[in-house]
Amino acid sequence: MRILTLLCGFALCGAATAAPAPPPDASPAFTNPGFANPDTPGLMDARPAPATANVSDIVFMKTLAMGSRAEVELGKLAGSKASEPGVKTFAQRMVKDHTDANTKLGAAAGAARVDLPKDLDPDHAAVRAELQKHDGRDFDLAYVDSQIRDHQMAAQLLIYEIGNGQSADARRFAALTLPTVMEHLEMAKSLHDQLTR
Amino acid sequence: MNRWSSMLVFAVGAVALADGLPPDATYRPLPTVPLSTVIRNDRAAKPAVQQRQRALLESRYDLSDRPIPNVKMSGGRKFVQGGVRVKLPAGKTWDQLAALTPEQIRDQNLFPQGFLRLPHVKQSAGGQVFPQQQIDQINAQEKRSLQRFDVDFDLPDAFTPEFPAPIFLQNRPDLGDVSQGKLLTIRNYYEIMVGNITPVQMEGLRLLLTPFPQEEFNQTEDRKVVEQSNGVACLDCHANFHSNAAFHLTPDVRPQAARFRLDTTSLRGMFNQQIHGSKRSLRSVEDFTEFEQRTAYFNGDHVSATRKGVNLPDRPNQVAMMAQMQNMIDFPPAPKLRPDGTLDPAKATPKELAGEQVFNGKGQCATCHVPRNDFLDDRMHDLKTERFFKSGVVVNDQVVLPDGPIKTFTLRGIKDSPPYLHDGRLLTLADTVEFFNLVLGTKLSADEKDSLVDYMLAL
Repeated sequence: MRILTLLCGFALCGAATAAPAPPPDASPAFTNPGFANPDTPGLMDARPAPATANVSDIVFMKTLAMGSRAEVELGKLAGSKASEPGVKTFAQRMVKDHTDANTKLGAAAGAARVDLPKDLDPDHAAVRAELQKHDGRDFDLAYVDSQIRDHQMAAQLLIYEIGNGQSADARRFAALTLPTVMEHLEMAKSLHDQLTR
Repeated sequence: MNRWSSMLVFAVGAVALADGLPPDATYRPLPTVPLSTVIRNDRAAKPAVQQRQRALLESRYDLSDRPIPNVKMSGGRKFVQGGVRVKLPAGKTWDQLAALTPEQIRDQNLFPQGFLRLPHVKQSAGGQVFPQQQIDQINAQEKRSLQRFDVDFDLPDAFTPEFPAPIFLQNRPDLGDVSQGKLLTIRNYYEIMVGNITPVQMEGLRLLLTPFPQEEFNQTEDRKVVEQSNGVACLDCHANFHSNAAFHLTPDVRPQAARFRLDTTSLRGMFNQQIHGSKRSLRSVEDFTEFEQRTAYFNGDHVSATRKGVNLPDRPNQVAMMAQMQNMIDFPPAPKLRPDGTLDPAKATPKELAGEQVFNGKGQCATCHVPRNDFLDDRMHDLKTERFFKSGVVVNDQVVLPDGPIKTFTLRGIKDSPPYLHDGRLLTLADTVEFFNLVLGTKLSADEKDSLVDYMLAL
């Protein structure tokens, strides 16, 4: 055995070629129980119910819902007002992706018994009102910049939920949504670079 | 027109998103659950936590014990592991991967998983995790527990530095290893080092071995050790001024799931190290020593540190002495290296000399790891590995993100310091060669890669 080990040293076994198994379930699995909802059923028996939300889950779902809802509204506006084809395509993608995300977020929130805001929040209403005053490339740039800020916020919120949340549904939603949001952020940054070049 | 545009952007930005992220995206919250319930839940989850991390490691790496024949670490206490351990995507060879563009590798999902960030064993909790040998030694000598109730150390013993590591003093290079084969602790340091160091250095050493409260090891209910703890010492991780592969999460990034793992850095050659910290680029070991009580100890959260009883060493006295002691620590001997950092052709093998050629030329290693500068350039560099993968994927509760600039680490005595890279994602020197061959696009041949490993073993 020892000889085999030695023979199989650096030179002979230089390449580990076995196919890697797919990574274990990518859904966030473990939380820090110190920051759980103390009312979680089963917590005292170390069998916490997976659907229970802590404060972080609730803040996450409510805040993300506001932003994601606004993405649809602003995307519709930009779909009609944008002058650059790239910005128009991006806006249409926002309407589609965020409509889809809002449905999934609604399901996760329902499972955790969290009420989501229904109307456009005042901050985003103000952004929409401001955008409506402008046209052409000025509109495009202002819209894209609002999207960079919104997607920075969304990405950070999702990362926050993955690390700080408790609800299994909300954390799974965050993990599944994050790559798309980061792709949106990259697209918005790239559009900004094109518009300011 | 441009001026108008920028005013417009400002106006829209000024009304947007006034509320910001929740405070616990940056600050550590106060616990909401009693400690006894936390212990019960953490213990119940622990087997699954360890099993998940083990499954991740096995999916990424060949973890078998395959030492390089006759090559041991500097203290002679442990063999150096050989071979490429990062697993390839199915049906691909290293040369095939190296022939692809970063975009092709990203879009076809071909970046070897072992080249991605290595998550903390329990990312959501994070914090310092010690290898079992360190836990056992400190428990035996000091009756102080470094054993967490929520997690255990995750890497196999074959891929960590020899323990205890030898200690070489640059103020007494004639002595050789002065560790006596023991782990320096607050219980034994004086008798081991008296006569070898100055009074000021001795006091610095005492402070470096004195436990102080830390995020997971303290007296409050927000801890991960069963009994109230006096805390941890600097040299609990930097064992014998080297590394025992204890790991942590970077204190410099938030939110929690975005933080990358940190493998303990060796303190050898501190006297020539000009920048410190994974992101902060502190410019002296004095600055680093002073502020670590709120970063390594408390995750860069001075608020939590204050609550749990942070120790703030006095700059002109304590910090200066701790820093001076660290600056006395030398690299292990490298008998084949000349004073200018080049190999002595009279002593080196042809393969090592060939490796030196690759290192300085086609491999581009010497661009940052400057041989005449202890293989340092005192800079941080961004390898932009995100060219090869899609950001935002979650692996074991950690988000795969770009790492940004990281400082250049020395390669002197590098065979003593597995695992490699700032987070320990690479288990062997052969892994580092494949990683940089792909990331830098150097397209090295198999012979060139082999010779590079031989060369690094001689450093």
